[in-house]
Amino acid sequence: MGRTVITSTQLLQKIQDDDWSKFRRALRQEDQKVLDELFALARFHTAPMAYASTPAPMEAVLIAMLIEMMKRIRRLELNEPER
Amino acid sequence: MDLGLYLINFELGTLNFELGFKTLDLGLGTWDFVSMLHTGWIFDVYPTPQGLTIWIIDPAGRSLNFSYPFQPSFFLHGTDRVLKNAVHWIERQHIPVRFDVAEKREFYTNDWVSVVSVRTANPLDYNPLVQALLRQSSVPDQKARRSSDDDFSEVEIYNCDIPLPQLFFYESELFPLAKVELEAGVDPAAFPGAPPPILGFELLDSPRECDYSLPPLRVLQLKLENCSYNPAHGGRKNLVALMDDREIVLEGDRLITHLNKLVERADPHLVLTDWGDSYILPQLYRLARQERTPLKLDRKGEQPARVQKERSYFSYGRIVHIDAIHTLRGRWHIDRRNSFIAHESGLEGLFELARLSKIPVQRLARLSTGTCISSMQVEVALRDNHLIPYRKHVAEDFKDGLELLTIDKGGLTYAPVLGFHDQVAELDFASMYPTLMRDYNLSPETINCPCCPDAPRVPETGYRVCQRRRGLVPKALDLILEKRRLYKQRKRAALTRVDFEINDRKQTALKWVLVTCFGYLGYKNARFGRIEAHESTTAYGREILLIAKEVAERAGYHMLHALTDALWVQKPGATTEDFEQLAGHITEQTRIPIALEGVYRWVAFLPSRRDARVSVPNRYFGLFESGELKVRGIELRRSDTPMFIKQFQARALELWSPCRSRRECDARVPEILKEVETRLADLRGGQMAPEDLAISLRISRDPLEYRVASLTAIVSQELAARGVSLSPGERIQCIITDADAALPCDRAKALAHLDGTVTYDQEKYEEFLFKAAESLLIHFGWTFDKLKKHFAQRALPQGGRRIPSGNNRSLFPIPVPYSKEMLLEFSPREKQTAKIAK
Repeated sequence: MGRTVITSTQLLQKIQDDDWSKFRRALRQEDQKVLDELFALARFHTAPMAYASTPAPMEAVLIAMLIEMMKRIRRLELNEPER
Repeated sequence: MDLGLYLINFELGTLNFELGFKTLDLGLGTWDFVSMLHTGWIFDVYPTPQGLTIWIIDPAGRSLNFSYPFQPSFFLHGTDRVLKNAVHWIERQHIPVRFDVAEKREFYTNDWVSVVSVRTANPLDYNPLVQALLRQSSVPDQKARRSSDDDFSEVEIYNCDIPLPQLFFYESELFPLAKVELEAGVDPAAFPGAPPPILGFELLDSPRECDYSLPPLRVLQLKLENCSYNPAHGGRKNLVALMDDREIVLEGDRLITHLNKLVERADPHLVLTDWGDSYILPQLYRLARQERTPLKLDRKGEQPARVQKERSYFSYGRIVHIDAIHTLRGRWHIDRRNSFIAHESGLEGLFELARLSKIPVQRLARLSTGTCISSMQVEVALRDNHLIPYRKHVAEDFKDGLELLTIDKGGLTYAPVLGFHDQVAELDFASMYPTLMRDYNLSPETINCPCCPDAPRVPETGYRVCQRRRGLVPKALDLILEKRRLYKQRKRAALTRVDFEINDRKQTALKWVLVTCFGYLGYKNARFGRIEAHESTTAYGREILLIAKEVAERAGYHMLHALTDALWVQKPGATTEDFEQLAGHITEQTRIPIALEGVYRWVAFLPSRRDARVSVPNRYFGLFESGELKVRGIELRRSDTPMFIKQFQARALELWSPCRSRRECDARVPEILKEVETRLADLRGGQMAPEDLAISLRISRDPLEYRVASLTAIVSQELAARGVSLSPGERIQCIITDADAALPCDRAKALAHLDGTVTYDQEKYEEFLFKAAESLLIHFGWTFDKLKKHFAQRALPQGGRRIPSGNNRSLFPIPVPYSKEMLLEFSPREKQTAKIAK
C-alpha cells in the first residue's frame, strides 16, 4: 500500500513462493510438508526481520527457523508440553 | 442576552426604546443607527455577491440570517517583471479587485518576503479568477501569448485554494456552532431583500471548550420504509418522515405539497436522511419539477444550494465512494449513509470536528477526517503569517537502497503466541504517533532544517530535527491531543450512559483526526506532508515499543504480542496493580504515556485463515475484567459477513462472557455447538430472511471492467444490466444463490431485485457458519473439517435431507418490477406510532 519496500511478511512469502518453489517441487512429498512447516515457523519472527532489515533476508529467515527449532529441542529435553 | 433591541440613536434616546422599530418601518432616516443584539450559534456561512450570508440559530430555535462584508484575497510572488505581467493580466479581466503589497513568511525557509495581495470585491469572483490565473500561468506554449510582456508563468500563487467560509472563520476567529452575540444593523435600503448586515460581534465561546452548549436543533428525518440497502439500486419503498416521536408515511400524488406543509409546520434545522444524497433528495427535486411545485427544503431557493458530483477516490489502499452531495441553504442536510464522520462518531463527533476544524457542518459531513487536520494546519500557518503553497514543490530526499530498506517501514507488528490465554494485560500508548510528532517536533519543515546542523539524530533514519522552530504539525496537534485526553477522562468518569456515550463519540472523532494526521504526514498530495517526517515518526515508534518490551521483560513479564503501539503481556500471579506499575515504569523510561487498556480474563490469538500454524497480528478476541469484549479480525467485525453469522458469533461470545478462565470457556463449548445447530436447522429448513443472508460488497471498479466472475463482478453487472449506475467504492448487497453454478449470473443475485423465484445456496452458507464457528473454537480442537463432519452425521431437523441447491423453495415474495420513475408517489397518511427506537 504505497510502499517502496515490501513488508517482511510479503518478503517471506515471496522467498517461499519464488526462490524455493523449484527446490520444493523436487522434494519428496513428505519433505515438502517439512519445508512448508519451516517457513511457517519463520513467520513467527517477521517483526525482528523487519526491524533489522538485513540486505540478505534469507539469513534472517534461516535464523528465525533455527530459533523455533531450538525452542522445540529445549522443550523436548525438558519434557515440556508444546505451548 | 437572548434577544435584545438597543439604539445608538441619541435623538430618540432611551425613552423611545420600544419605538425603535416603528421609526425604522416608517423609513424616517434614522435606521442607520438602529441595531439589534442577537445571541445564538453560528449555523452556516456561505459566500454571496455582497460578502457572506451568516445563519445563526437563537436560543428559541429561530433561524436568522445576516450579511457580512467579506473580500477574500490571495497572494502573488515572483520577480518584478512577472508580477507586473500578472497584475496587468488580472486588470484586463474586468473583475473588481484591489492590489496591495504585503509581507509574509515563506513556509520552509521561514524568511519574510514581499508579496502582492489580490483582493476581490465580490467573493463569487474569487474562485473563477484564481482558476483562470492558474490556467493562464501554466500555458505551456509561449507562442500562445501575444508577447513576452504577457508571460507570468513563473509566478507563485499562494493561499488561493482555501474554501471561503473557512478563510472567513480563520480570519474572524469564529467557527461553526460557536456561540456569539451579534450586533446587526437594520438597513433596508442598502441591499433590498438582503439580510441585515452584521455591525459587530462578540465571541462567547472557544474551540478549546469541552462543555459547550449546542443550539436547540429541530430534526426532520427522511428515509425509505424498511430499506436496508441503497434504494438507488432498485426496489420500491414508501418515503417516511420522522419528527420528534411521530412517524408520517408520505405517499400519493401531491407528495411535494404535503412534504412542504410538513417542513413549514415543523421548520426543521436539520434534515437527516438515510440515502438522501444518492436517492431521496435527487428524487424529490425531480418529482417537484414533475408536479410543478417548488420543494421548500432550501430556505433561499427552489433548488438545493449546491450539488456536487459523486466521486470515488483511494484511501488506505482501497477505493471509497462519496455519493453526489446535496446541501441546503439555511438548513442542513446530512445523509447518514454518506458521512464517514457521522457514521463513526455521530452528530456529537461531527459537531466537535466542525468546531475544531472550522469547516461548515454540512460540508464536513461529507469529508474525510484528513481534510479536518489539513484545515487546522492551514489555520496555524495563516496565524503565523506563512504563505500556503498551491502545489507543493518539495521532492523526496535522495536515499540509497540500503537506507530505504532501513527507513521505509511502519510500526512493528509481531506475530502473537497462538492460544487461548488467561490473565493477559494489554498496555496501549495513547495516540502514540501524534504524541511523538508533538513531543519530538516532527513536521515537514523541521526535518533536516538548514539552521540546526548539530541537532540530535532520529533513530534509524539519522535525520535531524529543528531545535529552534516549533513545527506546524505539532502546533496543530496540541489542542486535539489535549481535548481527546480530556474527553477520555470524562468518559471514564461518566455517571450516566448518555454522558459516557457523548464523550466517547467526541473522543472517537478526534481519534480519527489523529490517525489521519499521521497518514497525511507521508501522503504525497497532502499540503503539509513530507515522507521524511513520516519515516521519523515510525522510527521513533519502533524505538519506543522496543524500549517498552525491554522494560516489561526485565520486570519478568512474558510478551505474548505487540502491535505498533500496544503490548500484550502475561506473568503468573500478576495483579492489576502490578500491571499499572509496569505501565508507570514504561512511561518513565520512554517519556511517552502508556496506559493499562485492561486485563483480559481470557484472550484468544487466532491463526491465519489459510494456515493454522501461522499466527497473524490482527485476529483475536478476549474479555476484559470489566466485562467488556474486544474483538478484532473475526467474521463478526467484517462488513462482508452475512447478518446471521454475525449474530451467531455475537451470541457465542455472550455465552462466554460470564467465564473467568479458559477452563470455564471450555465447559461452555457444547452450548456454542448447540447454537451452531440451531442456525443450521434454520438454514436447512429455509427459515432465513433475505436480510440475514445478505452479503455486503464494495465494488472496486466499473462493473463492466471486471475480468473474473467474482461475486462482486456478478452482482454489480446484474445491477448495471438493470440500469443502476454504480461507481467504484459503492457498496452492493447480494445473496449467494448457487456458488457452483455453470453460469456466473446464477451464482448470486442482488438483494434489491429478489423477485420471489430466488433460492439460496444452503451448502455455501453452511460453510460460512462452520468457518465462523472454527474462528471461535479452534483452540478447543474444533476445526472446520471436524465441525463439518460432526454436523453431517447429526440427524437433520424435520427429518429432511439437504435440499439440492438451485431447487430450493421460493423464499422472497417481494415481486417488485424495477423502475426509478415509479418510486415516490403518496398521499399523506399520518400515523401515530410508538416511540421510535434510535
